[in-house]
Parts: sequence; structure tokens; C-alpha cells
Amino acid sequence: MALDIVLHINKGELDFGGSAVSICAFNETETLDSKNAIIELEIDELLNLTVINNDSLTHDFTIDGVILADNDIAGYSQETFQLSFDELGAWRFYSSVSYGEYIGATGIINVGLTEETCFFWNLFDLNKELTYDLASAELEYIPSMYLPELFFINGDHFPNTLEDEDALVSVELGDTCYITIVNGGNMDHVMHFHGFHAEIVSAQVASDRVGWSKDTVPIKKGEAVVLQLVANLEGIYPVHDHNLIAVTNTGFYPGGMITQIHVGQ
Amino acid sequence: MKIVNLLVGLCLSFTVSHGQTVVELFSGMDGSLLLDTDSPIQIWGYGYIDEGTYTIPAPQLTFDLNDDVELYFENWSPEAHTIHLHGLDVDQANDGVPQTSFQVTQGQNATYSFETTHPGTYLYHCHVTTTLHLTMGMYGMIVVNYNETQAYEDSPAFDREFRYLMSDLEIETNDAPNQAYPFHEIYPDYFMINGKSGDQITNTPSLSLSMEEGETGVLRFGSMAYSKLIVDIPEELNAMVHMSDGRIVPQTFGVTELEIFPGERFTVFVDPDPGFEEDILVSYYSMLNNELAGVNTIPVTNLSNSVEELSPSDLEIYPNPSNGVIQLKGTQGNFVITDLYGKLAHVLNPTVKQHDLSHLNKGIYFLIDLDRRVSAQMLIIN
Repeated sequence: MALDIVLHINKGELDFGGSAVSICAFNETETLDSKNAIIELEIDELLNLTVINNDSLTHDFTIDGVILADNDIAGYSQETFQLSFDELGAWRFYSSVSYGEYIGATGIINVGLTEETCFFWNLFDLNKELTYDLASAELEYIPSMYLPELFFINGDHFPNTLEDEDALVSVELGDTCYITIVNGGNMDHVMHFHGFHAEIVSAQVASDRVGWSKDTVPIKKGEAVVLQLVANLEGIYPVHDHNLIAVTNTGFYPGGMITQIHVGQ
Repeated sequence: MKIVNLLVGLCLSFTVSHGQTVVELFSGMDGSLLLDTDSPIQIWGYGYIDEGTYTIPAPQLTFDLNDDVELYFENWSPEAHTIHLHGLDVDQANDGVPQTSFQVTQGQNATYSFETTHPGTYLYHCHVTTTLHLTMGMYGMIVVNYNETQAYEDSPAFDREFRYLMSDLEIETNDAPNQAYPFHEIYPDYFMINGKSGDQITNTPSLSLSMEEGETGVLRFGSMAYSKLIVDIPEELNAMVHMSDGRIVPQTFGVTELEIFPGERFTVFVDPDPGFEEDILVSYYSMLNNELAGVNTIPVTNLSNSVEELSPSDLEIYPNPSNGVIQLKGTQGNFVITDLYGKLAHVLNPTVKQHDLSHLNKGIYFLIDLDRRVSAQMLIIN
């Protein structure tokens, strides 16, 4: 049995609270949405994935350790990829060109958790001015004096994150849920859980930490990690980046990479 | 016997009765920290109510496993503050986040109640405008002890315990916190271990990892820094990571380069080789671009190799006490004078017998024999 999915690579300008930004994303339609697609698969399930490039520039479809070559998608064309994964975990897919990855084109593949309660945090940081130079391919790298101003979970910042059902962890007391975190941004982040410790179930970068129970979880650039959280405490608890510049929106606190865990009865 | 090198003020504002532990803290916003350049900088912080003073970091709070803790907090400062119990998994009411719990405004007080359910290393900090209140200094370390000689059930026994809370600040922000906006532009340029930096650390004996040969130690590292830390631990210390964030890691592992991100904690056991002497380096890297921004050294002292006192028959300082002019009798060699903290104060000329130390402040010093790595004779200048 196979899962057929079509994704679009979209690029354009979006507004975040008065801040116009160039964004590239993998979306399920040809309309640009800063929230990238999330694909959920069973273990060993075949994925027939068609990627339509709506940009004039060539992109690619890359998954570290899985698809690294023969993955180009020319401008205004499409390619099909067949994939399956033989273990539980999360992977990030992205367009590795500078006008893709560096301006947000990173999505999530979650494997082996389709029957579970899952949430998804796709982390991304950006500097507004840089996104324009990157989008036009005038700039091909992130400069060493990088100063991000906006910090996203699933393509938006706090408090809008609380309106995203994938970002807001809403469960009942005693529930077990899974949180997949991917860092498609340009710097390392570190998510701190109030009220809870979460167990690292799988990790692509920090694989030596699988099995650890942590309240503060580094999410390095390129990481894709699955956490298991047991909601054993009723109430509302923040989760936020403890890289504290990232809990701001263009310098205002609180903002950026903050969401919450809501545990009801 | 367990030796804790940094237990400060445990008797102050800290009472235990019938299994309930009460701690009383206040907050202030008019404090001062002496930088390693000897210039003061503005800080905010927490202190024990009994003491009425504070510095960076806030007092270390030490509890036993399964304590019922009442943390009483008075805000003596003009802005609202909270105490977030970082990593302790407390309930919403006691979480110390203004938007979801409560904040304590000027002149008000509150009590945070919680039980210490897991042994380990934790942190506490203000969660009001965290980006600013943290860099201003409102943080400290919490340790939940399992028992006197073990960090957790079935852990190896340790002889000595060492606690290191790493942090940093941007001097410009601390100098003018009301001009700190925008908060994403904070570039730390001053790097601390337990509030000390550079020579301050090497001149503070309590910060040294000081052990006798054959002893084992437990090191508790925590970070309230903006920076990412790399702790380089000499191989001869045979360091093993046992815990992180108040939980036991599934498999202990050896470590010579420990990476610590903001808010993380690690518990590391050491079992040094005979003759150990290399120091621990702590490097601070920018989270923005991973570039090295600062380095501190944690001195490692092998007490089995350290100076022994000469017998009076070997060496005599005359007169002692003195007005600063002394003679050495009984031996010859290269000698230096240090202050009480081991900081070099004067190098003696080995070709003369009489030495003029009258330029030194009145006080107590030590005479060190560099050639024989012995001595530590006390010298008093009146």
C-alpha cells in the first residue's frame, strides 16, 4: 500500500505583524504558506511523492542520509520520488539551495506514529533583509554576522503559535503524546519544557541522546527529533527556546519560539 | 566525608522543620558586581532576606530528596519579578511565569510550594521579560541531594562535590538596562563561572577542583548563559556523565568535551589518575554564529601534590609580624609572596637576604618556595 502526496515549492513575500519577508516553503497547494507540509507515514509504507517547483529557479528535494543526489527539480517543472522508512522517527526534507533552505523550505516526515497523538514544531529563524537577497540568489550563504529578527514555530511566531493545532500541545491528563521538532533554521535552538520532562525517542543529529529524559532539549541545525511526553500534570505550561534572543519578535518580548502545553481533565 | 565547596549561607533564611524546608529570598535591582577589570557593573538579583545583599549568581539552594519546600519571596525592587523553578516540574501555580502563574509586584510577597521528587541539578530564574532579567543576573542553582555521598540511587559514591553555574552578560545592557531594547540584540561580552571571571576564578580557592589523589568527585554544571558552552575536561580526570536535567542518563559515558546549551545541566563524576594536574577549560560560543567569544579556566588542584609547610628549623622569617622589612633565615632559593587567595603579591630577589615588602597592604600573606614546591609560611605585615 502506498501513500500518494503532491507538494508544491512556493516562494514569495509574506507579512508578519508588519514585517514583510521573503519565504520559500513546501506546501500542499500552489498558494504560499509559511507553514511547511507535514507527512505522516507508517514504518515501511511506500510514499509516492510528487514535488512541483513553482519557482523559476532550480530546487532540490533533500533528506540527509536518504536523498542527497539526483534530486534536482528544474524551475517550473516537477519530479517524483519514492520513499519508505524502516524505523520510527522523524526526518526533515528541504531544498538545499540557498534560496530554499535559508528562507524556510523545510518540511517534516514523521514515521511510525500515525496511530499516536502527535504535535509538530518546525523551527526557523530569519533576518528580514537577508531573506530578499537570499530569495533572489544574490546571496548564497548566511553571513557570519547573522542577526535573526523573527523566530518561527511552523511558520509563525508567538502568540500566533497558540492558534496552530500542531504547535499547541493540547492533551488530557494522563495522555501520552509525541512531539516532533525539526530545526530548519540557520542557528541552533534549545527548547525548554515547563512542568515536564520529555523522553527523546529518536534523533537524526544527537542520536547519542536517544532515551534521555530532558526538560531542556538542544535542537541543532538540521536536527529532527521525536520526543515522548506523558501529560501527568494538569494546567498550562510554556515551552520556549532558551536561546533567549529567539523568544522575541523583532526585538519585542515575549514572541518568537514560544508555545504551550495545555493539559485538561 | 562529603565536602561541598560552595555551600554559601545555608543557615541564612533556610529552616527545616518536620520535613518542610522554608527558604526566604528577596529581589533587588540596585546591586553591583565587580568585574575582573575591577570596575563595578549594575546587576539585579535574589538574596537571602536575612542577609539583605545579593550578587551573581543568586544563592545556591540545596534540598534533600522528597523535601516539601516553601520558597517565600519578597520583592524589594520597583519592577515585578517571579521565581521560575527551572526543571523541577512544578505545577502551573508555582511555575513562576507571569502569564500563566503570577508575578510579584513591588513590595509584595508570595510563596512557591513544591516537592523535590528527583535528585539532581536545577536552576531558578526570573521569568519576567526573561531576556533582560536573566542577563541582569536574576538566576541561581538548585541542588536536590540524594544522600551525603551519592547523587542518585545506586550512583557511585563521591568524596567531594563541586558546583559550577556558568553565565554571561552584555556589559552595555547591564550598564543601561532601560535601553536594552531590542532584546534580540544581546551580545554577551563578559563570561562567568559562579559570578567570577578570568583571574577572579583562579584567585578564588573555592572555585578550584581540589582533590586528594584517590578521591572521587561529582561536578554539577549548569548554564544560565546566552552562549553555548564547551567544557574541556582533562582525560586524566576520567570524567563520566551520569545525569542531565535532573534525570539519570540511560548509559553513563566518558567525556572530555562536554557541550552545554543554555538551560541544560549535567552531573559528571570524576576519578582522577594519580598525578593529575591539568585544568578544566570552559569556552563560550555565540549561539548566533558558533564563534568563540570567551574562555574561563576552572583550576584543578591536586592536594596530594600541593605545598607542604616547612618546619621552622628549615626556614625562618624574621621578624614576623613585621612592618614590611623581613629577612629569611635557614634556606636559600626562589621565593614569592602571595595573598590569602593565592594571588601573586611580590617576587623576592634571591640574591639578597633582606626584603622590603612595605609597599604591600597590611595583612596576612604566604611565602612560597618555588624551587622545592614546598612552604606556605604565614607572613604578617602590620
